[in-house]
Amino acid sequence: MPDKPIHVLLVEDSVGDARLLREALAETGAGRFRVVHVPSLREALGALSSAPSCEVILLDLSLPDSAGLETVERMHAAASSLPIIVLTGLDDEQLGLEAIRRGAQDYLLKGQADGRLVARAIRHAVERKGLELERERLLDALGRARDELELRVRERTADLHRTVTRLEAEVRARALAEEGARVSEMRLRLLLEQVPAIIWTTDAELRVTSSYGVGPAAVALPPRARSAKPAPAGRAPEPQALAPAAHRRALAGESLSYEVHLSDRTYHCHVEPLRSADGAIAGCIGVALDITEHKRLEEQHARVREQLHQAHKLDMIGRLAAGLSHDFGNVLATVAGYTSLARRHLPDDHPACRSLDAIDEAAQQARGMTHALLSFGGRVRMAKRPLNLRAAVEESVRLLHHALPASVELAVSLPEPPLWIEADPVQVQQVLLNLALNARDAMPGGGRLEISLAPASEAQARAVKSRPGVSPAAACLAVRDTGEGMSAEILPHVFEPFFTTKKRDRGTGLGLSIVHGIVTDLGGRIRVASAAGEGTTFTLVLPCVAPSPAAGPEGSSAAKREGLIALVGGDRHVRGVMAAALSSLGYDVVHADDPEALLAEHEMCRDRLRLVVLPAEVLKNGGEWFGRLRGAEGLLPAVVIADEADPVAEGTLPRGVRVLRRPFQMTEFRDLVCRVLER
Amino acid sequence: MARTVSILIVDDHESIRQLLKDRLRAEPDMTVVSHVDNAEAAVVEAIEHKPDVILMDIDMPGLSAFDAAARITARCPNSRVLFLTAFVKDRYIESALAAQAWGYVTKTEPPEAVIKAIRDVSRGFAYFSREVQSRLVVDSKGVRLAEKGRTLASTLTPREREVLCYLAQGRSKKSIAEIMCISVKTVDFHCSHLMEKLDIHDRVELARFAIREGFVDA
Repeated sequence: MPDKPIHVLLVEDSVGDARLLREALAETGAGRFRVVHVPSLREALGALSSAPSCEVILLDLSLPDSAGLETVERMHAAASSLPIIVLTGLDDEQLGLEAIRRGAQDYLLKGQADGRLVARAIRHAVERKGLELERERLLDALGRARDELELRVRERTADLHRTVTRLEAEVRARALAEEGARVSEMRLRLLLEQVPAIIWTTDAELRVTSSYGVGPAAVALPPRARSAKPAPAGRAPEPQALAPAAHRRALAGESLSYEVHLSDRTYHCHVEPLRSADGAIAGCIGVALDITEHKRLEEQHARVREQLHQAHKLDMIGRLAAGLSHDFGNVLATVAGYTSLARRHLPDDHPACRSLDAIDEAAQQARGMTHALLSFGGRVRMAKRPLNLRAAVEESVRLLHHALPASVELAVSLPEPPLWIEADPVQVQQVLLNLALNARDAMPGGGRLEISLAPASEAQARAVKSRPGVSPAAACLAVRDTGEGMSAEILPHVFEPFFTTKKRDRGTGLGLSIVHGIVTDLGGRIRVASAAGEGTTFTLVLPCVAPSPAAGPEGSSAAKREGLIALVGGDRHVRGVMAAALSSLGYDVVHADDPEALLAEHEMCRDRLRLVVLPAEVLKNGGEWFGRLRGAEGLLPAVVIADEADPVAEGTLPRGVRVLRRPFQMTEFRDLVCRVLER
Repeated sequence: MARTVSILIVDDHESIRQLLKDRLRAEPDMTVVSHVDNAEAAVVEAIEHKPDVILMDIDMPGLSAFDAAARITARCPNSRVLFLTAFVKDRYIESALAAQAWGYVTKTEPPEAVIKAIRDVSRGFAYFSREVQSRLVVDSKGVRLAEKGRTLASTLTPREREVLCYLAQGRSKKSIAEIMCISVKTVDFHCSHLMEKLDIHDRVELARFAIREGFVDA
């Protein structure tokens, strides 16, 4: 079968060349090539659009409307799918090669191309172009396939990534859940180990199947069940504290709470049905909490509330007492005043004098009680000072005589010489009255109350903070009764506030705590020894102090001292205060505004004058009178009062003149005077 | 013969005035020139009679006895005020010293103590209990209570004292603010300051302190 003819578009402006080529092609075989000839590029382009069957283009480069390589480029641009064979002159082979680079398939040299060569070139060009096009198609298909593959890879990768992320999240969530479960388990374990609680489960026959926590002892489970691990099932004991009735109700579907008391402890329990996965009741689950401590605190709170109530009541009584005592004090002052007035009008041996003395004593006692009442309520400030304990005890005993019934024999033993402590006399009075009245109440049928004061033993003194250089270091005050005594259970509580064994309306429970407070405040110690039926002894050890050189016996005027002291000049008020201080030392004191007045006094009692006290400014203005006053020997001592900044100096003053700088405390002044005069 | 001491008695209690009058008249060296029942009248009578000693109660309604004492001291330099009181409180002593009073005698002491006190004061001797005497300090301005022994109350400002009085009376901060015409915040400020100074941090204890120190009556 003959081959299908190849359609050739011949673009050649030379008619002769075109004919030669046609003829050459025809020689290769009739009908093998069907040639369309056009003389210009324009027409060639038109022919391509009107004759799409063209399979190859034979293109002369020198055309009337285009020349050289431009012709190749334009043609290739217009028919890129068709093979182009360039026809060049003999001397333009180089141009042909260049044309191939620009898209042509081949080039033929005009004049040298015979029919067969041209036909072969045409066939090769068509074949090559076909292969090229096929290759391009394949490459194109390959590119698309690659793109599609890449897209699918990307999609798959994204899928994988999403899956991995999800899996990672799931892993993390699972880890968290596991950690949560572990922590939860730990919490529960810790709770059950630390809290006095137990959690248990039972089966439907109320046999304990498991128990956790340290509470088993609490609910009296046998030791085997008292571990933090579940008790082995099947060997579960019969629980004593599981309140079978409550558990039976739980088995019937009820949740309920109850309290049990076992071995002096109280437990709050809660029990409810234990359901299996299908919701059926398989047993009970219960929890018990040891609330003994909670109960104890509740009771303690109630007690404290009661005590607070008592304290408020006492505070109100204190306020009331303070208000009353003011008016009461006026009444007592009136009673004592008129008693004293009546006494003045009667001779000492008048029979009414004894009655008046008794009234006076009662009034004094009432005044003491008023003061004690006020100090108890904190309405007056305690003023501690060196106190002759013996005198203070004597005073308290005097009051006691009236408070004790005849059935109580009072025996008092006091030492010589006096023991000095630092205290307010009211404190001593309160201590003794409280102890003695307690003793009285402990001897309803009568008995003996002993109060004894003595220097403390060395061992006793060691228990208190004693002052260095004071002997004896401490005083021992004992109050002993032959009453009912106290049991060993009561004894440790006697000093606790509001602790009382008396009936509600008989005692506040504050007496001994007040005593304890006072003794502690005084730096001392108190001990109690007692046994039921054998009486009670309170022993107080109080640190001693040295009596100050200026201190006279308490409650009486100062011991009289020999000599006269003169104060001259300065502010009258200040002088009055200083004069009073010297007078309280037991000296006679004269004072005057100016030296002249003093000299007049001095003339009268020159022999008795032992000291002159004067401000520095008086001294500066009158050295002459001072010389006269000191006498020919110039031996009379003097104390000059000067301000801190005053240039007066002891060294520049006559012998025997001492300087006391303002400000000074009255005790310093008294001590200086004592030192000067008792040297 | 000893000079007669002229005395003015100031006490709002009729029975005490009568007693003192009767009792002092029994002393040959004493004469009661007048007796009144309040501090205001005491100032008038003191200026009128210029007595040697004015025996004056502290707790009286009306003008404060300490104010009256200061006025009398200023107007009558030769008259000496001696306080007569039911109880001794530090604040009383401080106020008495500030008013240049010559001492105090408590009503719990026997009447003879009052007579001795009057006699001492008339002779130019102050009359304080031994315990108080030990705590007196002489400085360039006169006599005061020892620094160490000074009451915590004396560290309070007048405003704080006022707030303390109202607190002790059980008033709310709001009501105190209204009375003092200040804001509740300012009351709070005074309150926290005075509590800090006194080292007392609850109202009951504060009330007890105020009563003990004589800021309010029980």
